[in-house]
Amino acid sequence: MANLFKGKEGDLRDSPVFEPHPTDDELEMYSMGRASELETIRIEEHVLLCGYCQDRLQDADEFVALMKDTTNEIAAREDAALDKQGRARTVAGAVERMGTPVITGLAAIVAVTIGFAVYQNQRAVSTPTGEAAIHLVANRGAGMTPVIGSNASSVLLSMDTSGLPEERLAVVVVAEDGSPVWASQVEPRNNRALASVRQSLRAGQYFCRLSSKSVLLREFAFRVQ
Amino acid sequence: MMAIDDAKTADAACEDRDLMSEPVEDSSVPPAHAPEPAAPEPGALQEWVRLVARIHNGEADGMEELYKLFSRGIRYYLCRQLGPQELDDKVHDTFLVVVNAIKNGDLREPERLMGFVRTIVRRQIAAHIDRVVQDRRDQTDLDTGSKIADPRGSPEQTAIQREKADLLKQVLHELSGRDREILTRFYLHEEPQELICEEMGLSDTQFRLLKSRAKARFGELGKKKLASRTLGTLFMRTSAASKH
Repeated sequence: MANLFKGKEGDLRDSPVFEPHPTDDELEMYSMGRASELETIRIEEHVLLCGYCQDRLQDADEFVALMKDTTNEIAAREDAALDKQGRARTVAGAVERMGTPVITGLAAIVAVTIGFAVYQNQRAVSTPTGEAAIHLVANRGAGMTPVIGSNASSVLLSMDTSGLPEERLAVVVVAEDGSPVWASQVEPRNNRALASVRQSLRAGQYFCRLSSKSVLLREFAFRVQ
Repeated sequence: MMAIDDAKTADAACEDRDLMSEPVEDSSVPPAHAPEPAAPEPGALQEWVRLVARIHNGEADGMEELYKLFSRGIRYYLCRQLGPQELDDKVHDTFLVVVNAIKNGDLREPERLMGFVRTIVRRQIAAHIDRVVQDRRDQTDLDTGSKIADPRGSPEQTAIQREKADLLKQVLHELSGRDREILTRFYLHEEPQELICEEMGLSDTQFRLLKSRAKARFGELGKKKLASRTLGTLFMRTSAASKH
């Protein structure tokens, strides 16, 4: 990324290349592993000889990785906030449907209380109070492992469960040597499951495993540093 | 030096800033300041043929030229795919495979030298990954734990990465929620551009511009940060010198 900051003018060099330089969009698609096979061949052959495009591809790699990590973190926080709002609305709605004015009154009190709690919780999510949020998606590419800091007192895991059954799933976090660190159960909703690990994690590599009836369904990797 | 916190205050002031209205380079065409790639002259491919012939005949300067042309690219690919461990050895091994293959006459279309080198590099990468997987499998039974390279960078690299992530966070917070959603869907969820454009009522140009502007803004913030750091260092040196 240093080159992105430096500007390209200083990096011009003679390259014995026979093809036009790939565009930024093409390099980005290649970097994300989303270029077609023909395009991949063309870009790889070009980059093999073109120092200028090697630097550009490095920039693209770094930008894509950073973008993934950063959108990841923001999405996890937004998911958590939405989930808590959703829960509050569900409870208030259920009480209201019970019908009698007394219950409606009670529902209003409960809703206000929950709303206040949600407000407090949301503040906790959006301000740095020591909870780290991490958005875990099933990635195809390597080198995109989400990273959080080890100074967080708890970790909010937001797991992508698209394609998995919407039933209660076991979630286990294991350290890099396979030893279990934390376990619980989650119920996926709207292709996402949230779990809050109420403990700090030491620096290292971790794997978060989702399983149903002892069958491993999905595994996500993340790193604490 | 502009602290990240100052930057955050600044970003609060320009919340939901419209990056669409700023001029930016078109990312769908090669950069305007890119060096001109050599034109595909009819004689250019003949150079490959001649070079291959020289290597086939065992001429040392032919091998030297091949090394000069490809060593940086080979090194770059291997490093990108396998990391920096034992990189020199891997480059050397790959180069030997290429030279031996040419000497043995395995390259039947010399004008396709670039594609040939690329194929060999890819095979070397695949073979290396196979070896690592096999080693790991073999060592599981021994229960001694296989040695793997530490994927973390140095403390300096980690700090730089953290700063870059903070800058990008600033860029993303400057965007409207809708623009942020577009970038999240593209980069994080890897949804196809066509689908995002269709569902969010965007033209291809609007989509590309949003990406380009976010990138340009990130580069601009990074440059400012670098400049302020250079000034900060200069200031510190000057004040240290004035004390002596």
